Order: sequence, then C-alpha cells, then structure tokens
Amino acid sequence: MNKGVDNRVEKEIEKIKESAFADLKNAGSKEELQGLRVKYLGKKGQLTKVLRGMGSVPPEERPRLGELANRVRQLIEEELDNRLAVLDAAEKERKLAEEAIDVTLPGRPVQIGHKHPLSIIMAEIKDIFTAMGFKVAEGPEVEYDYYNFEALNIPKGHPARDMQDSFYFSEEVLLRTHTSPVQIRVMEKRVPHLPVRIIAPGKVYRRDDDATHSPMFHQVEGLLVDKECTFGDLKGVLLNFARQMFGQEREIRLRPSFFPFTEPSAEVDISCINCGGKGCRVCSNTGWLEILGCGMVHPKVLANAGYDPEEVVGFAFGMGVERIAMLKYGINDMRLFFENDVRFLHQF
Amino acid sequence: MRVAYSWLQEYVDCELPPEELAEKLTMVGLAVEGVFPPVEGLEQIIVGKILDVKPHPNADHLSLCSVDTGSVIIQLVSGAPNLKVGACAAVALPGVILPSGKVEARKFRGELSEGMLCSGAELGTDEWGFGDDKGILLLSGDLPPGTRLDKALNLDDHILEFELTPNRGDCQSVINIAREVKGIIAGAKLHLPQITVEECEEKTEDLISVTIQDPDLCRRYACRVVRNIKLGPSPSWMQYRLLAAGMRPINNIVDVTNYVMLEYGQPLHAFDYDMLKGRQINVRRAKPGEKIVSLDGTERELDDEMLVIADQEEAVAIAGVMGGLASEVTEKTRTVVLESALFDPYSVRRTAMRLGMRTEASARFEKGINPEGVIPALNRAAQLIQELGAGEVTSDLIDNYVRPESQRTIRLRTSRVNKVLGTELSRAEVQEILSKLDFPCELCGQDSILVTVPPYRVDISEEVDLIEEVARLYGYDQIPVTYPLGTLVQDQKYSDSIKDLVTDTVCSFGLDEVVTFSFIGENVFDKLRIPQDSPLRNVLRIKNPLGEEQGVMRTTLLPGLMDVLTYNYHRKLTDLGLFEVGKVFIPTGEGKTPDERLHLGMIACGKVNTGWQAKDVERDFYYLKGIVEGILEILRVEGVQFQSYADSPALHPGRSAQIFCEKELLGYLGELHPDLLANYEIKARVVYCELDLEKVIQFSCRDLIAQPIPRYPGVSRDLAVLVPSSVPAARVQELIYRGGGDLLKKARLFDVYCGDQVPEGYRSLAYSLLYQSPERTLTDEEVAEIHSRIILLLEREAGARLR
Repeated sequence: MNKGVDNRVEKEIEKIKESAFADLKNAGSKEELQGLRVKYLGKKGQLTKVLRGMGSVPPEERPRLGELANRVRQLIEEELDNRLAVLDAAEKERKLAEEAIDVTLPGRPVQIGHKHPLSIIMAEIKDIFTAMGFKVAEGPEVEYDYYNFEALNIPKGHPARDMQDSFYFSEEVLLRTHTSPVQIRVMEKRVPHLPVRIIAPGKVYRRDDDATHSPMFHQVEGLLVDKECTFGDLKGVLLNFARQMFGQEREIRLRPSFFPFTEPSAEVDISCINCGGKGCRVCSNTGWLEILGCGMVHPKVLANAGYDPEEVVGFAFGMGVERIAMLKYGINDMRLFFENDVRFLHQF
Repeated sequence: MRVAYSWLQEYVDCELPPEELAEKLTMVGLAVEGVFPPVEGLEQIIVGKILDVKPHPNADHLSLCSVDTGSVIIQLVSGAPNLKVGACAAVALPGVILPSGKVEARKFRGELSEGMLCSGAELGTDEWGFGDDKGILLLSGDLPPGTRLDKALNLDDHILEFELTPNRGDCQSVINIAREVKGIIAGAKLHLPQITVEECEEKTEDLISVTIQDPDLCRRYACRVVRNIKLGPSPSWMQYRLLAAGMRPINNIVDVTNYVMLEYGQPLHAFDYDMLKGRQINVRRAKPGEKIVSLDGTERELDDEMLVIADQEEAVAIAGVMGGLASEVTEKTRTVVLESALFDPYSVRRTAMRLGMRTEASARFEKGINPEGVIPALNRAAQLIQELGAGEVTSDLIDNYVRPESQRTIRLRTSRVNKVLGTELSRAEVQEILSKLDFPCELCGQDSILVTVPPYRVDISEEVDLIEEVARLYGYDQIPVTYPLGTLVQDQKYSDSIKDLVTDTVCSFGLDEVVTFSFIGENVFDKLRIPQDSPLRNVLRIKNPLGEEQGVMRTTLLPGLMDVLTYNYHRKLTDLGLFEVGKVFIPTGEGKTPDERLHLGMIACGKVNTGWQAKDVERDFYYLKGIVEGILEILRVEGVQFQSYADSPALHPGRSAQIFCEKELLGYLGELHPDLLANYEIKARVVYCELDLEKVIQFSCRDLIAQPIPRYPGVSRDLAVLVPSSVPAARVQELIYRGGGDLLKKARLFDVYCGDQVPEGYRSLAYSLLYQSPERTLTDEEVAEIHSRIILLLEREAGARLR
C-alpha cells in the first residue's frame, strides 16, 4: 500500500509538472503568469498541497519524493521566470513600437538669421588678409577733400577727379569716393614707425546709379609700407588673395593702369572663374575678369603722410566688394544688394 | 579714342592681327576696349555684275536680274529702281545674315531669287558714304565679280577703340599711339608725315595780329592764314578716317582741322577771316556776362574765368572748347585763319564743365598737349589744305609762345628701379627698354641714367614716372612673384570689431542682415512722425544729391529698415526680422565732418514659425526685447533698464521703452505707432529697436573671471504673488532680490496671469526662486525664513498678496 501511495504521489507530482508547463506555455500575460505561480507554487498551490500531504508517505520515501517535488518546483520557477522574461521583452517591444514617430515630419524650426552677402564676402576678405598679417583699420565715411583727394595726389582740377564724381557737403567736406583716405589717416598716425600693414573695408559713395553702379558701394583698401617692399611682393600678396578667394587654380594678370596715388599702377584680372580662361560669356571672351586696382604707393603720397619716400616703399590695392560678390555668386545686378528682398537674402 | 588700324599702320611697321595688337597695347597700359570692322558682316557680301534686267512677269514693281557672282550666274529678284545693266552691285547669297535677317533662296511671285541685291541701308554702309537712297548699292568702277565687298569698298579694316587712362592724354593722337606700337614691336620703325608748306607771297602778319592778354591761360598761340578757299567735301580716305574715329565729315577745311587733331592730338580751329572785326585776335578772359552763340547754335553765357578768342569787339570762340557760329567756315568763306594754340588744361576743363560741353578739343586740352606740337600741327593742316587744293597758304606764321617749354631731364637710378619693382635689371637693360620709346638716355655715374623726356609725354615729370615706363614695357608679367618680408607689428593690437560681433550675434538670433543707403530723403521724417524739434532732424545735407530721396545723411537707421520692411511686406513676405549695423551721421558744424556713430537697428513683424508642434510666436515687443537682452548678455553689458516711454510720436505710447545703462540712454525699443505704419500702408504690428553701439560698448565688460561651480545643492521654491497692475515687474524682481540677499541665486519669472481668481487691478506673478550657499547645504528653516522675508517685503513695498 505504501508503495502504492508513493507511486500515486510521484505521479501526482509529474502531473502537476506537466500541467504547469502546459499552462505556462499558454499564459499570455504577466498577470496570468502570476496566477499560475499562485496556482502551482503558492501557499495553497498544487505542489505545496502535495508536499503537505507527504505525511502519508513512508518516512524512508519522503526524502526522495521531497527532492522530486523541490526539483519540480525549481523547474516550474525557472520556466516561470523564462516566460516572464519573454513576456517582458515582448511588452517592451510593443511599447516601443507604439511609441514610433514619423521621422519624416519636419523638425522644430530654429530661427536662422542670414548675413548679408556683402558682409560674408567682406569677412572672407578680412580673414584672408589678416592671416597674411594685415590689420583691419577704419576711417570716416564723410571725409575732408584733403584726405580723399589732395593727400592722394589728386589736386583740384585734376582730371582724375572725374573718375569719381563725388557727393559734397561743402567745399571741403564730401562722402569719400574710395577707401584710400584711410591710407593717409593710418600712415599719419603711425609715422615714423614701420611697417604699416592694413586693410580698410567700408562704404564709399559716387554719383552714379544704374545696373552696374550704385551711389553707395563697398571697398576694401590694402596698404603695406616698409623699408623693403616691391611690385613683386604686391603680385605675391594679390595672387595669394585671388587663389584663397576664387580657388587655387586661379591665375592673375596685371595690366598697367593709372591711379594718381600709385605708380606704377595696375588693374588686376583673375583667370575667368567660369571658363578657367578659355573665354566665355562671363569674361566677354577674354578669359579674364577684372577684380581690383593696385600699385606702388606714389612717393608724393608717402611724403604727404610724413614718410621719406627715399627710405620707405609701399604698395596699395583697392577692390570693390560688390564686384567680388557678384563674381563669386553669379549675381548680375548690383541693385539686388540694396533692395534687400528676403528671398535674395535667404540664399546666403 | 577710336583709330582705324590702316591709319595706324601708315605710321608704324605693324603687321600683327588687330586683336593681337590690341592685347599687346592693353598689356602696356593702352587699354583697347574693342576691335571691330567698320561695318559688321561685310566680308560675307560679294560684288556681282548685273548682266541683264528684265521685268518680272507677275509683278509690276519687281525685276528679274541675271547676275554674275564670279563663279556662277544667278537670278535675283529686285524691286530697286536703280538697276543698271553692266553695273556692279552688292549681292548677299543665301545663308548670309544681314541686320534684317537671314537671306534665303525663295520665290517672289513665282520667280526664284537666289539671294538678294542689297542697299547701303541694309548693309550699314550708307553711314560710310556708300549707298543710294533710291535703291541698291551700286559700285563705281569695274570690279571683278565675286570680290568681297569689304575689300571693294576699302572697308576691310579694323577699328581699335581705346579706353585711355587720364594720364595718357598724349595718346589721343594717332602718331603717339604709333609710338607706343613701335615700343612693343621689336625693330619697328616710325614713318611720320613729312611736312612741307608751300607759301604764297602774301604775308600772314599783314593780314592779322594776335595779342595774348591773359598769358596765364594761354601759353602759346599760333596761326596761319589761308586764302582763296575752295570749299568742298574732303577726299574719301580722309572722310573714312574721320568716320572711323567717330567724327562726322563736314567740309574739306573743317575736316583737315579735325584730321590733324586726330593725327597730332593738337586741336585746331578755322575762323572765317572776314568775320573777324579789326583783323585781330585777342586771347582774353571773357567779360562777366559776355555771350556767344557757339557752333552748335546755342547761346552761352560766359564768366570771367573763361578764356575766349575775341576779335576787336567780341568773343568769336570759347578757347579750347568750341568755336563761335558767327565766324564759322561757310560756303561764303574766302579766307580762313587757322588756329593752333596751347590753352591751360584746368581752365579748359573748368569751362567745358561749367558750360556742359565736353568736345574733342576740350578732351585733349584738359589732359595737357605737347607744347612743341603746336607748330607742326599747324603746318600739317596748311600742307593738307594746300594738297587738297582747298586754298593758298600765306607766308610765315604767327607764333606767340609766352612760356616756352624747357627740356625735361630726369635722373633714373637703376637701383631704384629694382628696389621698387623687385627686379634685377642691369643699367643697360633699363636703357634698352627706354630706347624702345625713343627716350634719349645718357649714362651718369655708376647707376644712373639721365633721361630726356620727349615734349609730347607731358605725363612724365619725375623718376617714378620713368620707373613705370620701364615696368610696363618690361612687362608686368615678367616681374617675379615674391612675398613680403616683414617684422611682426608690435604696437598695434588687432581691434575687436564690434560690428562683426553684433552682426554675428543678431544673425544667430534669427534676424536677417540688410544693407541700406546711408542717405535718405528729408521728407521721410514726416512720414515717420519724427517731431519737428527732434535732434534726428538735424541732418547733414548733400549739396549735389542724385535726388531728393537721397538728399541727406541718415541720423537713424529707421528709414532704411522701414523701407526694406515695406518692400518685402508688399510682396507678401510678411514674417520679417531684419537688422542693419551701420553708421549714422550727426552734424558737428558747418564745414566739419560729422560725428559718425555705429548703430544697430532691428525691425520685425509677423510671426516666428515654430513648426507644427507649437503655435507660432508673435514678433512682438517681448520678442525683440529678448533679442536685445541676448545681445547685451553676449556683449556683457549689465544693469540695463527698460523704462516705459510714451513721448515719441513714432512709437506706440503704451508699448515702448527707452533703454538705459547707468543713466546713459543706449537706445529705444517699441512698437511703431499705427499712424506711422498707415503711412507705409502696413496693417501688421511692427516692432523696432535702435541701439547706439558706441555707447553700448562703453558698458561692455570684456574681462571675465570664471566662478567655481557650486559644491552644495540649491533649494528651489516657487513664489506666486498678486501685485497691483501698476507695479512694474522690474520693481517686483528688484524687491525679491533685495529680500533674498546673497543666498538667493536666481529668481525666474515663469508666469504672468490676470483673469479668474485674480482681483481687478491686480495680476499674478509667479517666480521660481533658487536659494544656494557656496559654503553649506541650506536647511529648510533657513530657506523658509528668507522666503518669508521676501514675501513680507513684497507686501510692504509693493502691496503684494501671497496667492
């Protein structure tokens, strides 16, 4: 009989195990699993009941059956944990899936302010020259005739004054027609020290108004005065500038020209940025684009500023910022810069 | 200056293709702006011989011509009335493109025309004297059929158009351009005109006398008299050269004076001798108010700084500018006085400008002409008149040379050439270069060359001028590229550019930078409701503005920004945030330069797009105020106060503030007044701020000392109070900080509310306060004590109630 009891208990344990595993397999939620834990392993659970009923088992059989029951309990517990983990993972996954968003919806806009193209170009010019050791200098936009003309070797009645029709406030006060007066102001302050190495960006004004001229525009002036300084150095500085600004493959060409405050003087062309020099519509089939004027500082200008032209040499150059911006961005109407249509500004 | 290449070739050996010559001249400083044939496309047209003309069977006004084109005989249909058998005509074959369109073989009323017979107008040759207004262009002489028309008409030439720099006035002369050509072509020789004048017996001085009354304005005055004038057209070669230069042929006498002017650069004038009263010429200043009718038929009033050529009684020409109508050479003219003179450049320039008449003559005088060229040019003109059979030249000439030219000799140092150019030229090389221009050179010492400057090079007066000559003829492209050597500059600090900093900052806050003109129209002040007594109306006036709209210098950036806003707004671009950093100009007194102050102006309207998640934000007062505060934070300006400002008619009285720092006014911020906006037809609310950056920067603290990160945690407490609406938030904030003392690190306003549960006349302000000590963790009791101190203070000082 005892043997029969043993067998029955053993079978019961096996049955519980099988039923538990089947239940666990079918359980679809954490709550169900919790229910099964109670059902099988709880204080009133099936397995617990079996263990409690161990009293009817012969003592010598108890250890074996106890061990069996515990092993089954352990197995059920392990399986419970496994199932729990699986369900946890599935739930987490489901939750993540629910949280999915449409990544193609636009992001929250940030407010981007656009710098004016002329500011961008001027900053770039300043960068290039400051890297070469030039300091940025400024001067007034309303100037005395002396600084704008006289000191620059353009006396009254000089035909060169025609090249720059000016706005006047009085006989002696006018809107500067170029940034060149800054040359004189800087040298006057610095004399007798050397070197002078500046660029001067700013607004300039001439009495002109059409698609290619604006009564107000921007220039950057450059000036280097030192004991030793040559036309060759001027070429070097400008070649470096042209390549930094318009690309390493650019070549420059200097054509003799005339400015009252430099001699020898030159107009500087770069190889066409559109065709590379073969000739196209942009460069009027010449292969070259004019970008600036330059020359060796005229001895009279050095003397006017207080330097001894026998002791020092200098070069100067001046460029139109609009011109550079138009070339660089392919803009063909100067007026766009001052119309300030935001559809234009937002492109920069 | 325009010159026919064939004319230039007469004076100098040059067989270069015209484009190549143009390139070379440009590279020595004589910029050639264009090279073009006299008539475009003429090389496509051929000469055809009309063999037969018969009526068109189906049209009364058309004829059928059988034309020999040299290679084949073709049929052409023409409606011209001047068709002539045996004549040579201009033929355009199919495929040729005329200004009127492409020529094609087509039928006219059933008869094939294998091309067309062209008129001078169709070809563009009539302006050159080749054409017949009655029909097609017929060519004189017997030309082989098939000849290119440009060759047949001697128009197979090129015109060089020069853009001369102001210093090279000497090159307003074909001969002087030829000298430049010689300079750039190795071995080329000059072939200048040989001048010989055959004179008749009559003496010039018996016919006329010359007095220079104002020698300061006239250095030299020479003249000749030509008798028995036979007026007529000038020969076609001369007319062609004048036309190529852009001048209209008139008659043989006038054409000769113009021709010689182009040739030598010396303006000449021909007077009708019989119109000169008293047989005398007086070179004098005009009398005040003196009048003359110039050749163009306009009466001119002169002033006493203008030089005139006068007879015994009155002015007969404006010296160096234009002759007078009364003494013009006409059909009736029997005797002519030829003038060749040297007038003061500045005087001619001033006169031409004052009278608004820039002429070929004045353009030459004002740049300076060759003092030694006066007589050769005069003789050359006499010679040509004589050779053309247009008159007889009297013997001798009158030459009043008040201040003769002295020879200019300049010492040129080879070492100086190399120092300036960065070259390593030897003295021999320098001399070689100068000899290309025929500058006489003499060696001097070890290093120098004494250079004699030819009189026609009036632009050369010092050593550096010669260095330039050497440089341009040596070739700028031959000068080696080098880089400057230099010491580091020690006493100049790179200046922080506030302009760049502010521009970058404001851009980063989402505003777009604009650039507007520095001049504005004065009437804009009314439009902007700027009061009559406002200092902004104290402006600097431009004496010669382009227009009233650009008549004065701006004293505020508002007009420009308002214009840009309006421009965009009316193009349906209504969400705008714009700014400008630029100077305003404050007058400091007559004849003085103004105070130029760097300002920042910001203008905004519409909304800030915050995307699909949130409601768009209005660009209102607080939007712009936030930006101002951001700028001030970046510039490290502390202690700025915004004070309500109701006094400006330009601004909304209830939504504007002045911005102060330590009692200094930095600028203002506010909504623009609706009446102002109505003036611009803007219906949106617009906010504007202008700051004087020069003032702002005074308060900018650029020295920064980093503070340690707090080691003890802070305690946060919220505080919501009901405050009478009349108490400004700034006052509440101030009281909170005062009550909080050192341990209150920060008070952040996070809610402003009025409405339900807030009594009338009150508003609820809610702050988040952070208490923190650098030395210890604060206890709840400590915090509670400070907190209640703040509340007490608010109750007492601001009439606040705890919510």
